[in-house]
Amino acid sequence: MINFEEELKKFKPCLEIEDAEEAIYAYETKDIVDILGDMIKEINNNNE
Amino acid sequence: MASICKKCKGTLDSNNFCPNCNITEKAYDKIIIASKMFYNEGLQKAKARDLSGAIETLTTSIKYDKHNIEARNLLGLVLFEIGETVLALKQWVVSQNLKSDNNIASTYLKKIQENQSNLDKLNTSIKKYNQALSYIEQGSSDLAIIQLKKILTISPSFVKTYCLLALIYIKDGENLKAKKELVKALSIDRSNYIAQKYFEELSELVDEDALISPEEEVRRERRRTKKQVAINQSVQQFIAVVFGLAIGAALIYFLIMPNKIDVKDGEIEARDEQLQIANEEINTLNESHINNETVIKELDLDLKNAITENEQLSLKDIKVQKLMLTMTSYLEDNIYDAANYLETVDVSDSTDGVLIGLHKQLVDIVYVEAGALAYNEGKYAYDNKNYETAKERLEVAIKYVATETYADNAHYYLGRCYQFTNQVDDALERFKYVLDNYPDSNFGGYAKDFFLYLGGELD
Repeated sequence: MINFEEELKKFKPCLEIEDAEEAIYAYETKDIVDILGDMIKEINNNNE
Repeated sequence: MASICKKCKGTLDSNNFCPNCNITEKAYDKIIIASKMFYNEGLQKAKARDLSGAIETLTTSIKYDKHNIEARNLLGLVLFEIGETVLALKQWVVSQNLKSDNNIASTYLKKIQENQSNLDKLNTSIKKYNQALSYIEQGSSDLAIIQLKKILTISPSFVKTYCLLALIYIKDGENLKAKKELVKALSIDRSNYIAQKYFEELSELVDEDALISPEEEVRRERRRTKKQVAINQSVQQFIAVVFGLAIGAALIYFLIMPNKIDVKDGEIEARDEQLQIANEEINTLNESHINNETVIKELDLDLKNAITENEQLSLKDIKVQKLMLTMTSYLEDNIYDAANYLETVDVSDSTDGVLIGLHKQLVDIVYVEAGALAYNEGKYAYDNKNYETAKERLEVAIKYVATETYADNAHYYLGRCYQFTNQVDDALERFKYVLDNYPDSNFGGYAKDFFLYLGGELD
């Protein structure tokens, strides 16, 4: 059964064009290689 | 010679390990291959209109390799298609930053930024969507519905809007309306999770509909000749008023005109009688001093004028009949028949203000709808590579949609159809038409590229 209130929570407001700049600056452009590298660096730092 | 890391361009050690990236070359190659595989899968999904699936897969692709520019650009395109403009812009800007040369993301961004009116429309859709959410929170579903319907006339592929509209209809118990919106959403994005979920719930509520899958509904929707370009409620009301007035005007014509014809017939009979009398007078009077020839000539002239007037009234009668047929066809949903009848009515030589006004009102309604229907059918055929059908439909569309916002699209796609069916001269003519008549068109760049590719020369 569809619960209106619960379903409504899934609909989030859209970013407007004016907010695009902020959204772009805040965007994380890390891929899996970057993440693995960071993880290994952290492990190495902890081991030291 | 030391090997270079493909990611950071640093030097690899003897084990082909990059101390900067903390990864071996072999592992990195595998990650790149995985990213490309996800991209290929995302591309297939996008082509099959599984847009939600494509977004998910392409997002994974760029998580593996953020430099997979093709995946990022395609992700932006898919997001743009479903109405997520800012998310699309985000991907294209990042793509441009990662690779500034020879990157189609630059073209996409330029097209959007250059066409300010389109950008404003997109922003308006977003604002209205957010406004609709506010209305719902305040308990004003009716106002939310109005906003959402307005969005769909501006951005008919804004998928979230259909889903939200369907949710409101479900809440109000209008399951059939909800289903129609969900079918439209699924025709744009066939794997949209929310639309599918709601559709399945509705199928449980209505037994016979449970037999029909969303995919079948979408196929049926496409088979029917439904109007996909939405006409908002105020225009529908206007159409009802116009037809009421038009039917009234036409009825008046049918009541008045027979009388006029009768009157003219009576006048002709009267003139006939007078002519007869004059002839008898000539025979009996013989060498009369009355200028009989002049009298006969005058009567003859009057008779001829009366006959001419009668013919003109007959022509007007035919025009009104055709306008009536136009309206009847329109009301029976035979849009093409309505447009065909309307095409045969020429009011350029008419001085009748009511007839001219009625004709104009019908042109404004019928041609717009016929054009929209023909365009949607043509575009659908084009997307399915059925170029002969697409050509036929788009040729109809361009007759009626000269001033519509998607007129340039129709000409462009028609040009592409001609191109695919090796009608090079016709293709060149269409692309040139787009360049000359729609300088701000989103398809201007593509039209120019194909025009030049086919050997055309610009001024």
